Amino acid sequence: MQASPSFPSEVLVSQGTGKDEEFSEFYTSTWARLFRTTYGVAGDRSLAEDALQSAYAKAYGAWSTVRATDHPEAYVRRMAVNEVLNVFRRPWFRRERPGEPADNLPAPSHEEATLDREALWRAVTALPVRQRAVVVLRYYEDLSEEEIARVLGCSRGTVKSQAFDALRRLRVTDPALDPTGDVS
Amino acid sequence: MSTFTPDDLRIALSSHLDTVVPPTSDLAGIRRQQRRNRARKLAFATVVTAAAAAVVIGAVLLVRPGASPSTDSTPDFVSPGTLDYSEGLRAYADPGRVLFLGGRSLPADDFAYLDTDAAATAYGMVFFDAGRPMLLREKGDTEALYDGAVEASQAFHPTAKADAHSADVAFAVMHDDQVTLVVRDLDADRMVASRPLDCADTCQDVVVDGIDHGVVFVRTGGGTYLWNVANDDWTRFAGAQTRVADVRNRVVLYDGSAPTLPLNAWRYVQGAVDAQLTFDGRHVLSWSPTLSPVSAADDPITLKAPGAIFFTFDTDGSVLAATAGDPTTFLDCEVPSGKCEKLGTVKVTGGDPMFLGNDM
Repeated sequence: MQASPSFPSEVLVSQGTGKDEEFSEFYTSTWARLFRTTYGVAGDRSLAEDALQSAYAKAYGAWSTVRATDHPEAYVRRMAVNEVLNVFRRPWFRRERPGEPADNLPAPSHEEATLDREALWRAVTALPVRQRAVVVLRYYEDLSEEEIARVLGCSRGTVKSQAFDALRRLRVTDPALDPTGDVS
Repeated sequence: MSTFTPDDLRIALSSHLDTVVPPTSDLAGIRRQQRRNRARKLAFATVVTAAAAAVVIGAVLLVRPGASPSTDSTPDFVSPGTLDYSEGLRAYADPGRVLFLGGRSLPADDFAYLDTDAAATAYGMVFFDAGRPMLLREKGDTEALYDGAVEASQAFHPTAKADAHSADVAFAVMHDDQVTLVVRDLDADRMVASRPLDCADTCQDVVVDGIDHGVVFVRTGGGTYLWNVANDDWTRFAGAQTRVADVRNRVVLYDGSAPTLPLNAWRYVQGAVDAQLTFDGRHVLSWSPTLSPVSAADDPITLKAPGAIFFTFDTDGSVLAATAGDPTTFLDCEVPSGKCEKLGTVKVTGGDPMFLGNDM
């Protein structure tokens, strides 16, 4: 159309590291944490690794988009968690899901405590996967209801009800827990 | 089990998950998987109707690695036959096997005809052939949308975006390390405006994020800018930490930091980077059959699509949905009624079901 206008000067500044180097740095700094979260939702190392690897591959493919967000890690976490949820929806998985090999279980805690954390952990792993996702994202990742809703692609009300029901299920083994006390 | 509180739940989760030893990281494996994903999408994102057509298209449409010399010529495209866009493009696929477009089911093939940069518009599928924007129209013919010299680059993915309220589509082309933004009227089949940008070594970061009411949202390495087509104004809209996810009916859906430029009569709504707005800008679609209202005065829209977990907007404003499981059911859901029409059931074997022209 008209003359050739230029970008403002800040656009002309070099973007620094290339895609590969930048993504590699992001990957290295987030892999362990995101694996633990994904594992917490999946309850299965192989599934967690596959889901997370798939999420990182998608993030790598869309890195120019992902890196422009405030929280690229949140993007990968959302993709990984939804990948896990999708797998759980598949009929073959529900039929054939293997058990967790004993040698892959997390190392037991040796802390002295009145709380039976092993039993509580087992109760969490027995929750339906979507409720387990809510619990892990809320109590391990410390996400807000709104953030969890964004991860799971549902309304805040659904998160609230899922959390309520999850805590209710846990309370079956311990009536002392108030499910309305710390959900939001 | 002994008594526990929510804090105990936090401790229990941390004490377990923090002791989990992550598997050895495999960055090379992730890159391999990404290349497979890319190759898979390229393989099925193609429209052909006959083996002879495939041979002809295959000879001329392979993705050309790296930058290629400028060219003013466009290859010939064999028609897939007459399509029906009257109810939207209804473009979806079983990766690697078959794709569905405009009421036809077509065999997939490994051509770069429609790749992840393609954009579904009411006038057809816009895709890039070696950097040149092309349009697959309803009659099955393919035409170039830009006649000037262009060059292809694997790193340049400007995408194309359609205005839901007009026949305008916005895209970008590159030539001689310069990017030219273009708005074209697909109904009148004419160029509305163009704007060359001297973007030096940042040209490959240029992406068209949206067009609405004659305003084009352009992302660069340094932020997002508005190009007002009517008066050729170029204005900084937001910094690099803002990502415009969608723009419809003067509603801007963004992720990250809030835009820094106030716009009269426009509304900014925060959401996920891959969320989408209804064409009236009143609801947000984001990985759920329930569309959240932008305004508290509106009610959510719930699609009557049980089991659906994949969603996108079709070119007529309806929602395309796909269920999980085997087989996958594809649906077309009206907005705002939520009523869904079954398009078909497909035993998806090539990965997750995909909506063509709407990939992020």
